[in-house]
Amino acid sequence: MNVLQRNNVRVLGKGTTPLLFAHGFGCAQQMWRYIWPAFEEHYKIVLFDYVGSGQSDISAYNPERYANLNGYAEDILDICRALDLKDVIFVGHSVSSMVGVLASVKAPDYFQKIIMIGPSARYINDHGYVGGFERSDIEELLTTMERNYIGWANFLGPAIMKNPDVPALSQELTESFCSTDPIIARQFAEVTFLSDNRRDLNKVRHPSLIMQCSDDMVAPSEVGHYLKDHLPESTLVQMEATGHCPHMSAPEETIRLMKQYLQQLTQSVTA
Amino acid sequence: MPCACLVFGDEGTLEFVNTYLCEVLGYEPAELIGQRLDRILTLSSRLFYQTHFFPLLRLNGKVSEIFFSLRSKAGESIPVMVNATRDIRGDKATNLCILTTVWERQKYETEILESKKSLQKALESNDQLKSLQTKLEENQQDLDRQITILTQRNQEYVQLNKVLSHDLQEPIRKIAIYLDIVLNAERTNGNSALHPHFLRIQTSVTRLRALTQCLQEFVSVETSEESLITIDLESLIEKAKNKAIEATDFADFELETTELPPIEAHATQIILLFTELIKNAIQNRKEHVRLSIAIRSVTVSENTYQFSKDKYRYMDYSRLEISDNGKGFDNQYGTYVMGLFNKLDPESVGMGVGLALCKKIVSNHYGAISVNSLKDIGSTFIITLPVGHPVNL
Repeated sequence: MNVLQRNNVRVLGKGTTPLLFAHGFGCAQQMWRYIWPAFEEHYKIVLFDYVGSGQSDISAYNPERYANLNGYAEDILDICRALDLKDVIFVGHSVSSMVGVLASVKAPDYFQKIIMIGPSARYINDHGYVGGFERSDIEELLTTMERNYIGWANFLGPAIMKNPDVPALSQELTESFCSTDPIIARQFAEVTFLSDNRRDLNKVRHPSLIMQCSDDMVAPSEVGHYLKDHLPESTLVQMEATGHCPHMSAPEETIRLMKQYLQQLTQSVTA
Repeated sequence: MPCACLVFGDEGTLEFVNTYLCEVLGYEPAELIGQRLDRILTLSSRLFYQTHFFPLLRLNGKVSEIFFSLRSKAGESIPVMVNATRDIRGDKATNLCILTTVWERQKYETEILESKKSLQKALESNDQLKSLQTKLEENQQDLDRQITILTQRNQEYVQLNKVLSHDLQEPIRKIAIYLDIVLNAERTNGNSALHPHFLRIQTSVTRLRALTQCLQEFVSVETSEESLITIDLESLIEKAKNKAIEATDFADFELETTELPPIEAHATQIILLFTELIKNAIQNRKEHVRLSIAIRSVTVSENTYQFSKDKYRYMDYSRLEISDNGKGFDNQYGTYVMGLFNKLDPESVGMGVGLALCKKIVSNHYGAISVNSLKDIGSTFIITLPVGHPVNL
C-alpha cells in the first residue's frame, strides 16, 4: 500500500520544518489553498486528503477503521512515517484538531506544535459542558441529510461559513467535494458529531494554539475556553472571523494569527 | 395563499415574510423582518442550511424539494419542503423561498425511510453474514492449524526448558569439575605449557553457564502458566528495581514514576520486564553522570488486531515510556538490540538476552515494544500494553 497515493499527499514549500495541514469533515485539502502559500517560503508544506475524502483512494476506505477518530489519526501517523517527518507543526481544522490530538498522544516524537482552527472536544452538551448541540439536534441533522438523500458531500461546499464578503466558490472546488462517497461522508458526520475527546486533552505534551471564531455554531466560544482550560500549554485566540471556516472566509486574519503564534514560540525558545 | 413565502439576503437576514408563514410560526411580521433567518430554524436546520442548503443555492441559483424543519415562536418543530430561487441584481442577491408544511408527507416519508432502512439493513446483513460465514470457516481452519503448530511448539519449549535446566547443565558441570582437577594438579606440579589454554577453557565454561542460564530464563517465560490479574504497576516496578539492584550490585540511581494506572497482566513477567529494562539502563549508564530513569504512562486507543489486515477494533492501551540518560545508541539499531544475544557494546556486562526477554514478555501480553535512542543522550523504550484482556485469553 502506498500511503502517499492513498491519501493524495502533496509536499510543497522550500523550508524543512513540516507544516501538516489536516482538513475538516466534509472537505478536502483544497480548503487550505488560501493559507499554505503564505508559509511555503519557510516551511515544508504537507497537504493530504483523509481516506474517503477528496481525491483519496476510496477503495482503501474501511468502515471499521474509520468508525473512530483513531482511524483518521492513523492516516496522519501513516503519512508522518511515510515521509519520515519530525517536529511537525500540525494544523487541523474542526474535527481534525482532535485527530491531531490523538495522533500526537500516540506518537509524540513526530510533533512539535498543534494549531487548532475551530476545534471542539465534544459537540453534544453534557452535564456542565457546553458543546452547542443536544443529541437530538445531531440525530435530526443526520435524518435531514438522509431525507434529502443527498450525502453531505454532494453539496458541501466549503461552506460552513458566514462571511458574505467572499465571492462564490469555484466549480473546481465543488467538484472535488462531490467526488466524496455520500455513505462515507455520512459515517464521517456520525463519527465527528458523536465524538468525545475530553479525556484526551490533558495527555497532550505539545504547545497548542486554539483559534476560536466568532459566532461559530459548530464550536461555540464556551468550547474554546474549555479547551484552553484543559489543554496544557495552550494559547487561546479569539478571531474576528465569523463562522466555522476562517481559513476560507478570513485567510488574512488566519495567517496573521498563525504567524504571530509561531514567531512568539520561536522567540521564547531562543530567549 | 396557502403556502409560506420568505426572502432573505446573503448575509442571512429576513427581508420579507408572508402572512401564512407568520401564522404557521406564530410570529407577527414585525418580529421577523430584519431578523436573522436562524431565528426560525431549528439548530440542526441551521447547520443544514449552512452546509447544504445555502451552498447549493449559491452554486446552482435554485434548489428544489429540500426538506428541513422550521422552529415556531413556541419552540415547536415544523417540517417543511422548500423550493428556492436566487436572483442577483448588481451586487445584491435575493433568495426567495416557497415553503410547504409536510406534516402528513413527513409521516409517510419517515415510514418509507424506516422500512427502506430496515430492508437495506436486512439485505446488507444477509450479504455480510454470508461472506462472514465463509470467512469464519476459513479462519477456523487457519486457527486450527495455528493452534496445532503452537501446541507443538509449546511442547518443544517445555522440552527445551528441561534440556537447558538439566541435560545441558550436566556436561558443563563435568567439564568444570575436570578442569578444576587439572588446574589443581598444575598448582601442585607447576604449570604446564598448556596452562594458558586451560585458563581459556575456564573462561568459556563460565560464559557457557551464564548463557544457558539466560536461555533457560528466556524459555521458561514461555512455559509459565501464570494467570492474568490486575496489577499495580508502581509496586511491581519497585520490586523490579530491587531485583535489578541485587543483580547488578549498583544502586546509585534515581527512578521516577508518574501516575501509572493499573493494567491486567502476568505479574511475575511484568516484574521481569522492568527488572531487565532497569538492568539495561544500569549496564548502559554514562560513567560520570548520575543515572536517572523515568517511567510515565498515558492511555491511548489502539487497534487490537496486530496481524489481521483490514480488521479494526480500538481498545484502551497503556503507553509506557521508560527513559534514561545513559549512553544511548544510534537509533538505526533499534530493532537489532531487541534480538536474542544481540549486543551493540561488546564491553557492556549483559549477555544480550535482557531486551529479547522484554520483547517476548510484551508480545505475551499482546503489546508492542520499540526504542528511540540518541547516542550520548539516552534511550526511551516505548511499550504499549492492553489495559484489559477479553475473559477467555
